[in-house]
Amino acid sequence: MSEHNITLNVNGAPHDVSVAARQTLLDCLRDELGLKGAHAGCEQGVCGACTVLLDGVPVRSCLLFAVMTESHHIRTIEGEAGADGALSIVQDAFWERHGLQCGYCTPAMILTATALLERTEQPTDAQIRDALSGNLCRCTGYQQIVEAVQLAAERYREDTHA
Amino acid sequence: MSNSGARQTLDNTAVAAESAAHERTFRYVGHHRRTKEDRRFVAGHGKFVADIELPGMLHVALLMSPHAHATINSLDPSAALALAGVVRIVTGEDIAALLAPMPHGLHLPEIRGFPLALERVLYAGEWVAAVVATSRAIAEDALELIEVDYTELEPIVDPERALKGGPLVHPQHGTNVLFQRTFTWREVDADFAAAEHQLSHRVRWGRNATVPIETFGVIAKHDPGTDILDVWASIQMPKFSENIASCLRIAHTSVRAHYDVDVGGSYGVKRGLKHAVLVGWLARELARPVRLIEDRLENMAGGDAHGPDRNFDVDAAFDADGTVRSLKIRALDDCGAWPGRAPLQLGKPVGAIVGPYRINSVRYEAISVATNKTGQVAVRGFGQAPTNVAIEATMDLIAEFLGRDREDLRRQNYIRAHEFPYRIPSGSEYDSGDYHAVHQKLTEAATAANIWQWKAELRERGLLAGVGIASVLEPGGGNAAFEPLMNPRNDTTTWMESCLLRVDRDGGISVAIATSTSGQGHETLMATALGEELGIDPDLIRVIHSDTLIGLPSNTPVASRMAIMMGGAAAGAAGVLINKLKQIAAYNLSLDAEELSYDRGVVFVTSDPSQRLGWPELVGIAHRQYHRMPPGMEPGLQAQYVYQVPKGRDLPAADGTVQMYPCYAFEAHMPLISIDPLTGEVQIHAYLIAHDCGTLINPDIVKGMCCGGIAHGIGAALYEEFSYDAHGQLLTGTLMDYPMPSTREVPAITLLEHCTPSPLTSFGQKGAGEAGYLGAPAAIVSAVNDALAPFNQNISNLPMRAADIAKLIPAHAITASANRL
Amino acid sequence: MKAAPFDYLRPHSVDEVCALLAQSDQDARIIAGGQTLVPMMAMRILTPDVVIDINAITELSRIEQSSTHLKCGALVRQAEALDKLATAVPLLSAALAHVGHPATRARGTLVGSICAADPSAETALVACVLDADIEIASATGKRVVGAREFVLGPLETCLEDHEFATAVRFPHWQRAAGGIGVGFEEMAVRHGDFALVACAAQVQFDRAGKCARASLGIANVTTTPLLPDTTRLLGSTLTDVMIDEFCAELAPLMSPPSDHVADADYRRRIALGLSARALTNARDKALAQP
Repeated sequence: MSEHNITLNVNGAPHDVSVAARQTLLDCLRDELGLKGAHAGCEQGVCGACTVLLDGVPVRSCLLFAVMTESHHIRTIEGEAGADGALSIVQDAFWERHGLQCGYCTPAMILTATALLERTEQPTDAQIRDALSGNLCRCTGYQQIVEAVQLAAERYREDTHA
Repeated sequence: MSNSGARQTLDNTAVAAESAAHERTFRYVGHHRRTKEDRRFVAGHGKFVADIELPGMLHVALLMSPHAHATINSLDPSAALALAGVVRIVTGEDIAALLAPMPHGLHLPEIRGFPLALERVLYAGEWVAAVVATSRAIAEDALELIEVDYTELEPIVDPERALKGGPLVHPQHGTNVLFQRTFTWREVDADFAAAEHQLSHRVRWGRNATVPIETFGVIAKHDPGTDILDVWASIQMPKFSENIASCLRIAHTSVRAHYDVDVGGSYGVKRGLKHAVLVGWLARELARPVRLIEDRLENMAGGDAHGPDRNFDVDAAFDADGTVRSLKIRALDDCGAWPGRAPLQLGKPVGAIVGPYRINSVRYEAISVATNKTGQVAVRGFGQAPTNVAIEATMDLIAEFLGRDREDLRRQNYIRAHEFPYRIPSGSEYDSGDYHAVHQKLTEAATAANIWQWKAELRERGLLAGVGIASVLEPGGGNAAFEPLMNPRNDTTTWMESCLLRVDRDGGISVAIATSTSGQGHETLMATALGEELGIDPDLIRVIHSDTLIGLPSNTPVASRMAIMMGGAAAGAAGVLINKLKQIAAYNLSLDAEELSYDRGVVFVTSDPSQRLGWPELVGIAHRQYHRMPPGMEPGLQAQYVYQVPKGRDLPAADGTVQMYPCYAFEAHMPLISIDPLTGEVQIHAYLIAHDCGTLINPDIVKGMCCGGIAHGIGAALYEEFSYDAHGQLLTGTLMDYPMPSTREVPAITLLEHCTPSPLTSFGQKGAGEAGYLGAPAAIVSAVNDALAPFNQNISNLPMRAADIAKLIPAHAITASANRL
Repeated sequence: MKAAPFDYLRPHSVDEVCALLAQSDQDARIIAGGQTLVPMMAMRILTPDVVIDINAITELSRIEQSSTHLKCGALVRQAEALDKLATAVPLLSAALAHVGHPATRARGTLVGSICAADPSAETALVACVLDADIEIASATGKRVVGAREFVLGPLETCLEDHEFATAVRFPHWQRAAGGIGVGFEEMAVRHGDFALVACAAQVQFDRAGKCARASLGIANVTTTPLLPDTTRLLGSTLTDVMIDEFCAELAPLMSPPSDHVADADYRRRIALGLSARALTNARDKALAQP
């Protein structure tokens, strides 16, 4: 079973890696590229802790083999803050509203919420909960996560109308 | 800590007096503050154990037993060893003789457990062999090549049967009963004889756990030069490094567990001792770092992280006027094959065995049995959540029996605000509370939300609808008392937390806490507590986690204790520091320390504040200008304080009465649910909770605990169970089969806070780490039964799956309209 | 949970896929969305020697409308179908809202889901209810199989080792004939989970307000979707009573499984009620059409 030399586009930059076919995108990001923000929770596509954005859409990186993802734009949590380290609107809203506790599901939640807000300007609570329904959290009970996304939505609106 | 002039000694009494003297207006405590920890997590810069990479690190995968009970006749690893990348394969036989057995909370010396099965497997999923390889994937490839020959034995899976006999899980123990004791507190028989009414019922708390999204993981690395075994783990456990050392039969000073690893949720369950001992042994043996990150299959079946699995039989004695006089509770818990500390979670609930009620007497029979199932571990609340279901279900049944309103009955029986501190029959004294006031807040919220009208509307739509009520206590602060209670040979009463505070040459403040954190925001809590004591902005205080070689004593974040204990430790350390600053200033002003005051880093003459020494000057004297220090005083500016839990000094009496935890938070829950009469599916439309944990140190953290606890409780009430078949096979060993609630199953939660401060703690704070969880399951049981009330049906088996509920809905209720919903 | 090793191939045409399948005597699996395949590989329930990734075959992403059919290639994602086919194939769109979560629908495909043939799979159910066709390609040629013949049993389809499914075609119900309405009901433990029971119904009423066409399917009460004969409903006004009686009589046709979540009696009971709900909703929507 051979190694595949591939180039992945991650957070806007190309990365050359050599991977076995069976290596998931999750393991490739973490082990080959040192991007530890995507987390393994179940490795079978249920918990969502491994979520990254593929061409702007949330996907389970544990269900993609890295070799399949060459022609796509991959966004991970590490790419969300600005070059100067300034947090994105969504990241900052999660901090302000304490939309997390242990932090394990947080990168996935933030990316999923970000994708939602990039598509939907004024999501209702139901839309927020629906968008996040594939991301499990055991710490927060989701209350402050939903509030964080609402705050982020407000700030997106202020941002675009400013 | 050494002498430093007129060192102020602080004991619990002094701290309490201090807190009473504190103004109740806080500068930092109680205010919204972004947590320090959140910053790194939102950026994806948490450092979880699986993120750690060490050169030369090897990876472990576990071979799990397919049988619930079997002898291991032979194991042939040769084909697996031949696989490229496989470094070593070990079995129980290889290592048991080199290790000490894993410790138990009970006295069970003949039950000897090791990280890998020895001679027999005792549950399906038990770890039989460990493969060590250059990658996890290769290790898993190797697992497939190991050949094991088993002879199956009959498993025992029914705890009631295990109580009476059946196949023995541990033949050398002679019985499957691990613990059985009846406690009688006050005149139970007389109260039952005198009571006008009695009722009996059973509650079943199905086996479940708080299952974090991050599984347990551990990395160990041995340095032969220093002979230190470094351990990084996703851990939440007291005495972790001590236990590793004793199991490995090495000195405790040869183990260094690092508490600065971020833990991805624990809620009690991350004890991982067998994992750490295995990996520690391998690291020393192979002279390379070794890593074990459970995959989800290893975790669910083989991680020994299941929770209480408990049948309650309750008899209640009460009068026609609604006074509840006495309870008899028999709690039978199935702790699986390996007891560990799990049976102790039959003991802790003793500290709130009557809930918030003025019940006069209690008989409590606690029984722990072994079966051929995965081992049990401490779960959030340490047995209190199941016990609260038993108590609250009893109250609802009494109300139904008497035709009384369920809330009214509770209010009638609540301990009154003026009765605190209140001593319950089992010996614990509840520190403070105002249950009526909290309940009143709930009532107001229910009115504002139009709960009753809403319920009527749901019924009009053809759904069944119910409102639940649960009023429960969250004991907090921790206490060793459940250990000697359950195991009189163990006379442990010390239960402590520490604060190591350092002011550096530049005046920067850093403080070390001696334990790990799994989302509770300890860095923020400690910084806020210390900031409040010192009058210095918590954002300026650096908080770090020690390792176990340098850390002061700690009992780790169990038992809803950290707000209380860190508060006390911070108060103690701050007191030592402030005292030292005053001594330095007094010497430099040629005055007595009594004439001086401290405020926000400045020491000044009380009667003439213009005479002062500021922070930079004080720091400079302490660190650099010894000629200006009081003679004999230690240089530098540092303080340590180890704080013993309030009221934690006594061993249990012969009848088992003892002070359990010191502080009692209270919460009243009210969910509104509907049930589809056809499918039995429950939907939660509204969730109200009124909560009183005394002074809130950080309101956002407390809110998070409440809401997260409620979500856990919804899972336990409606969805989650580690289900076994008659052959001891685990049917729910993946996250697909073990359904944890998502944003669709957990409703929006309305939280009302009330504050009845504790007189025992530094700011009046009580614990909040188990908030929500201790009441939600009871509240949902109450709501479901309210919805089923028209059919005179009652359900008390958790989880209450849709199919279970549907069975109780009679055919005539599934009218044509049910087909139109 | 790491998959066993395998060879990975990424062909660029349907013909290439067929050639690979024909020449190889190894165990080969097609991967499109991977939402069903990869978990099974991670748990080593499946250990294919070869995985053939069809995601580069762009022609398979097409959605094509003809006067008779709506055809979705093997790469049409569930998310896209949910979004775009609400008008063209409303029953499919209704069902897809219950399938997994946004992140799984972003990758999971319609055809992949049908090929997985899980007894509770909503997509396969809808394909059967609507008498969809599956287009199959192989080195020896192409063939078309009706969905009802395609799904043979739990996790079993009529696909031979050298064949692969390239598209699903949903036949149109001619709107000129009258209002069309759909109903989809499901009981799952959590939203998005596998269904314990799923019911899909599509009905059409003529201008005189009589039921001209009715199709009903129930998943997971038999090993393949239960597709009862609805002839006796035709020509009626499909009253509540008729619907309830019709559904009640389906009970003997069902042999649902029993497990720790729900026993057979429960599944049967809810199947009867949910199919009545599905038919009722379909009827009401059809009658509400102008």
